[in-house]
Amino acid sequence: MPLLRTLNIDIDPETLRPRRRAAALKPVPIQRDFPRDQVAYFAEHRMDFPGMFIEVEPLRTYPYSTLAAHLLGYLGEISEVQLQHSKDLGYYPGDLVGTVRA
Amino acid sequence: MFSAVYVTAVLLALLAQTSPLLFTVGPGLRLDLTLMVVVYFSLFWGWKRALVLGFLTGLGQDALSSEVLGLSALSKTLTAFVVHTLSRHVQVQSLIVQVLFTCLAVAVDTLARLVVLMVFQLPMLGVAHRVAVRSCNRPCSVSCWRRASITDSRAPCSMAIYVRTKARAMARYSSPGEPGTCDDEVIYIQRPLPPYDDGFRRRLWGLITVVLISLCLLLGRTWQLQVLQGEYFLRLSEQNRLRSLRTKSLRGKILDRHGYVLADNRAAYTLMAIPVDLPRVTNSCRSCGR
Repeated sequence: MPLLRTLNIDIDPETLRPRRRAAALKPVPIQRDFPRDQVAYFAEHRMDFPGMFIEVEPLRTYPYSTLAAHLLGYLGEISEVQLQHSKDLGYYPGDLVGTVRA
Repeated sequence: MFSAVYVTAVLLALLAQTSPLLFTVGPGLRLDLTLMVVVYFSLFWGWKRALVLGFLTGLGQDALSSEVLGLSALSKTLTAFVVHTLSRHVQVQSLIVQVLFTCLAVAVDTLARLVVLMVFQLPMLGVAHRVAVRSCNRPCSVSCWRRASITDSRAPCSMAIYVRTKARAMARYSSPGEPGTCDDEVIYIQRPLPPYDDGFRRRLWGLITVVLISLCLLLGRTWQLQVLQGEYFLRLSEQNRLRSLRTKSLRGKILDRHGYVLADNRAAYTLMAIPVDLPRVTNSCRSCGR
C-alpha cells in the first residue's frame, strides 16, 4: 500500500495479525487524532483505501495542558492485562481507559 | 381487522356456495368460491397464516358439504402452500398475476382432490352425469330441481339424483306418471349425508385417520420447532440480522472548584480499518508499510 506512505501512516502488521482470526469484522483504530489535511486527502481518495474509513471520536483535551496532569491522569488504550481483568465489565480491545502512571 | 375481513369473506363464499343455485353451474362444473378467497389471502398474507387459513377454510367447507371430512382441508392447505411459495418473488398487486395464480390454484386444488379420491377409491363427487331417465313420477319444471324417484346403478352411493327436464320434454310431464324421454338431464348432487355403506364408511375412516395423523405430525413438528427449539432459532436468526456496533460515549468533564474546565472532550478524526476488508498483506506491502 504505497498510498499509505502519502498519508504518512504505518499499519503495523503485528496489530492486525491477531485480529485476522478472531474479530475480523470489528474496526481497528489505525491512527487516532488524524490531522485535518490528511482527513481531507483521505476523503478525496476514499476509493483507493479499501477497508479503511474515518470516524469521529471524542478525544480528551486539556486546556491547561500539563497542569495537574498527575492528578487528572490521561487516556490510553486498554492494556492486555487490564482487559483480562475487566472483561466482564464490557471493555473491548481498543477501548480508551483512564490511566495514571504516576 | 384483517382476520375479520377474511372470516366474512369465507362465510359469504360458503353461504353463496351452499345455496342451491350455485350447486352446479353446468354439468360437470363446480364453483369453488372459497378457493378464490384462499388464493387471494395467501397471496397477501404471511406464510403460516396462509396455511392455517387454507386449512380452516377447507375444514369449514368440509363441515358444510357432505364430502369426505378433511378432503377440502387437505387440498386447500396444499393450494395455499403452493400459491404462497410461488408468489413470494412475484409482484402480486398486478391483476394478471392474480388471475394466473387463481388458475394455478384451481388446478392444484382439483388435482389434490382427484389424487386423494383415486388413492382411496372414493366416488368422485360433484361431477354430474348425463344419463337417460326411464321414469319420473312428478312433473318437473325447468326452473327448479326435483328429486326423482329413480334408481340408477351407476349413481355414486352418496349422491342424490336430481332430474332437470328439458323444456321440450316438459310437456310430456304435464300428465303425471308418464315416462320421460331420453333428452332428460340427470344431475347428481351430493346428499347432505352419505348413506350407510360399509365399504364407503371404512374408506372414509381410513382417509380421516390418515389426515388426522398427518395433522398430528405437523402439529408435533410445529411444537418442536416453536416451543422446544424456539429460543435456539430465535438466537440464530438474531445473529443473522444483527451486528452490534459500539459507539463511544463522551467522558465527563473534569472541573476544578471554580468551575474551570481542566479536562474536556473534543472531536477528533480516527482512521479506522476493518481487517477483513483490507487488501492482503504481502511481504512487499509489509516493507512499504514500514
